[in-house]
Amino acid sequence: MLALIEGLVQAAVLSLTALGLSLVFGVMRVVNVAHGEFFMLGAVIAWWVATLVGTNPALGFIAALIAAPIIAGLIAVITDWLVLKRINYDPEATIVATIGLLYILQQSVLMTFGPDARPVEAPFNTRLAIPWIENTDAGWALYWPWGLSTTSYKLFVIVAAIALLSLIWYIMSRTKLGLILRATQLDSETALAFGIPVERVYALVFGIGAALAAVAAVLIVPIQQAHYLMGADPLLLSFIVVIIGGLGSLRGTVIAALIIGMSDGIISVFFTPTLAKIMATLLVAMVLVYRPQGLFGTRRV
Amino acid sequence: MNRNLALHLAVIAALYILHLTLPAYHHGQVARIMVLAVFAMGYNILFGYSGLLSLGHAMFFAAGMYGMGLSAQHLGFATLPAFLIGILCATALAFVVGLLALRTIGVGFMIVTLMFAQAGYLTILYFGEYTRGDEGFVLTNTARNFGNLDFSTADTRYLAALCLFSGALLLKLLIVRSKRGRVMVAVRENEERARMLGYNTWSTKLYALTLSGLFSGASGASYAILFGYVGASFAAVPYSIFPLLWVLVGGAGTTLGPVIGTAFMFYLIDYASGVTDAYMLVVGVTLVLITLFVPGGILGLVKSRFARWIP
Amino acid sequence: MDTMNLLETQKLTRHFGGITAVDDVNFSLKDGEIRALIGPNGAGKTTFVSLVTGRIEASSGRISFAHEDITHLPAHKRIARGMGYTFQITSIFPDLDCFENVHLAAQRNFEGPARKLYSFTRMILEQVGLNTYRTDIAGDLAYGHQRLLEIAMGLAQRPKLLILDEPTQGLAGGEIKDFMHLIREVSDRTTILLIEHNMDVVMSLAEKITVMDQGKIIAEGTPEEIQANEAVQTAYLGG
Repeated sequence: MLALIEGLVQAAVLSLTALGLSLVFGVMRVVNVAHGEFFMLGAVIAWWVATLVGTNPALGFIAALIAAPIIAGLIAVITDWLVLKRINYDPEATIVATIGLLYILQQSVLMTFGPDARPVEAPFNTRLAIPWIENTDAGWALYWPWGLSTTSYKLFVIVAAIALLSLIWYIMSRTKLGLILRATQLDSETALAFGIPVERVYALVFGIGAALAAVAAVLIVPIQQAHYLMGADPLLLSFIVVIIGGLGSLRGTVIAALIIGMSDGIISVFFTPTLAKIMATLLVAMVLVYRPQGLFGTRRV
Repeated sequence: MNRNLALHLAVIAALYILHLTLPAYHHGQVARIMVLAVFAMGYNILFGYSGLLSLGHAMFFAAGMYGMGLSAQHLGFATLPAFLIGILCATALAFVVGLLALRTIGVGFMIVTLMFAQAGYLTILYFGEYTRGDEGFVLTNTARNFGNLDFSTADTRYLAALCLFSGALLLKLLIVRSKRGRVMVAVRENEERARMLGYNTWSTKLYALTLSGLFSGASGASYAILFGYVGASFAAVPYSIFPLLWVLVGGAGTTLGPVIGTAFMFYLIDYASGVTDAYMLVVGVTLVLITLFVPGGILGLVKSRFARWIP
Repeated sequence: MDTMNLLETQKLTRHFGGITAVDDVNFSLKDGEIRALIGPNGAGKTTFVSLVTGRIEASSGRISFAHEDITHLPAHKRIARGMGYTFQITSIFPDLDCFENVHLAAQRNFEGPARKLYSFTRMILEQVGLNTYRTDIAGDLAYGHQRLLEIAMGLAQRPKLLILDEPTQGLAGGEIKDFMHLIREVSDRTTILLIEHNMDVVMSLAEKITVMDQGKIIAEGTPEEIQANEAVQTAYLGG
C-alpha cells in the first residue's frame, strides 16, 4: 500500500515530465535532450520563489507553481526562436543544439544556484495513517499500524498530476488548440497551407513541453531537493517512458509512466539500483531496435 | 607524392618540431591532445564520413581503456598485449553494437547508442570491486613499459603519442580514399542511391562503425598507458559528447578537422576550467553556436572558401 | 524458360493494403532488346520495376535474371548481378561533384588500375555531355543536367540490363534527341527497359512495347501493333 502510493507519486511526476517530451517529439518531430534541465530549472525556480516569498510555505508553493512553468516555458520559447527555428528543426542538428542547451542551463544554474542541494518546504504535510485490516483473536479488526503512513502532500501530488493530465487531454481532444496541434503533428506542410501558423505552434509546443517538466519538478521538490544535476534521471526516465509508450503517443506515455513509476520501486527490491538501471537502459535500446513504434504505440508510416 | 599526403606529413613534422620546442606544460597537453585526436578521428569515420551520429562513443573509448587497464591490473598482462586487448575489446564491442543499433536510423540510432553507452557506464560502476568505480585506479609502472621505453616519462610519452597519432592519421587518409571509404560517403549522401548502385550499405555502415570503434579503443588504451589512469568518468556522457563536439568544431568529413577541433576545444576547456567550475558552459555555448553558424566546422569553412582539395 | 531471355517474371504480384499494384504479371525480356513499358499513371509500372530491382519485395511470384532466380535477393545483390536503375525522381549524391557521382557508380565492378577507372569515368561524362560540368557540385546542376547525370550513373555500371524510369521527364527538346542517340549507342551492349510517357521517344526507340493498366499487362507487341490495339486506346482514353 505504501509502495503503491510512493509508486503513484513517481508515476505522476514522471508522466507529466514525459508528456512534455512526448508532446515536443510528437508535434515537432525533434528530441529535446535538454528536457531534464527544464525539470531541474523548475525545481530551482521553486526554491528561489519559496525563498523570496519567505515565511508562508503554502504561499511560496503556489507562487512557484505559477512562476516556474512560465519562466521555464519562456526560456524554451526563446530557445526555439533563437536556435531551433534557425536550424529548421533538423532532427540531428536539434539534438546537437539541445545538448548544448543542456550544458548551458545546467552550468548557468551551477554558477548562480551553486553546487548544493537545497530543500523546499511542502505547503502542507500532515501525516496520514493508513488503516489496515488484520485477523486478530477477536475477528477482523481495523487498525492503524506504526510506520504505515503517508503525507497529505503526496496524495496532493497524485491528485494534481491527474488534474493536469486531464486538462492536457481535454485541450488535445476537445479544443481548437488541440485540433491545431494534432493537425500540425500529422502533416506540418498541409497545416501551413491551411493557414496554421506552424512556427508559432512549434514555439508554443516547445514552451508547453518545458513548462510541463517544470510543473512536475515543482510538485516533487518538497519531497526531493533542488540540485543542479537533478535533470539527468528525469531525462533518462522520460526517454524510457516515451520510447516504451510509443514516440508521440500521449496515451501510451501515461500508461508507460504508470508502469515504470510503479515498477521502479519493485525492481529495486530485487536488484541493486545500478543493476536495475542497466537493465532499464538496455530494455529501452532493445525496444528501439526491435519495436521502434513502442510497446503500446500504433505503427506509424 | 600528392599534396594531400604532403599536407598530412607536414602536420606530423610540425608536431615533431613542437616536441623539441614546447615548454613542459604544453608539451604534456599536446601529447594528450594527440591521443584524444585519435578518438575524434574514429568518431569522424562514423559521423563525418558515413553520416551516422552516435551519442555513445564513450563506450568504445572506455572499452579500450578498461580492456587495457583491467587486463594489466588484474591479469598481469604486459603493456603491449594489454594494449592489443583494449583495442580488441573496443572493436568487438563496436561490431556487436553495430549489429543491433544499425537496425535503427537517425534519431533512433542516436538514442540507442546513448543507451548502450549508459549501460556500459553503469556496468563499470556495478563492477566497482574491479574497476574502482568513479574513483578509478592508477596503473602501476610495470604496465607502462615496453622494452626499455618508459611511457611515464614526458619525452617517451610525447613520442609514443605522436606515433599513435601519425599512424591513425595516415591510416584514416588511406581508409577514406579507398573504394570502401568512398562508399561510406555515398551512404552518407544518399543511402538509397548507394544501394541502387549495388553497394551493400548495411555492411558499409557496420564496417565504418567497427573501424570507428577500433580508433576509439586505440585512443582509450593509449590514454591509459600514457597517462596511467583508468576511471569511469571516461565512460560517462560527456566523453560521448566530446568527440562529437571536436569533430563538429573542426569539420566533419575532413581528415584534419577532428585534430583542429580537439586542439581548439581542449585548450578552450582548459582555459575555462581555470576561470570557473562551470566550464562545461563553454561546451554548451560552442555546440549551439556551431550548429547555428558554422555547421561545416573550422576546416569545412576553410575548405569551401579557399581549398576544396583538402580531404 | 527461354534461354534467350535476360529477365523473366512469373505471376509477379504485389499488394499494398487492399490494392493490388502489380497483379499476376508474366513478363519476359530478350537479351539485347530495347523494350518500352507504358501505361496510364498508376498502372503499376514503377512498382513493377521496383519489384524487379528489389526496392520493394514481391507479395508472390518469381523473378529470374540471367537464368538465375533472384526473387529473394536484396536489391544491392541484384544490382551487382548486372542491373542498372535510374530513378524517376532524380536521386544523385547532391553534395558531391559530378565526377565523384559517376565515379561511385563506375568503381563497384571496375577491374583495373585507378588511372583506367578515372579515364573511364571521364568517358562516360563525355558520352552524356557532362564533361564540362565534372567539377560542379551535383546538387547545383540544372534539372536537365541532373537527369543526364542520373543516366550517366546508370551507364557507368555497364549493366546487362538498364532500367530507365521516365528518363526524359523534364528534358528539353534538344536533350531528348541527344538522349535517344545515346540509348541507341549503348543498346548494342545493354538490354534496355524503358518506362516512358513521351510517345515519340517510345515509338522511335522501342523494338517492342509492353502496356500495363491497373497492375496487369494488357498488350504487348511492336510499336505498330500497339498503335493499332484497341484495348490500349481504351486504357489511355477511357482511363
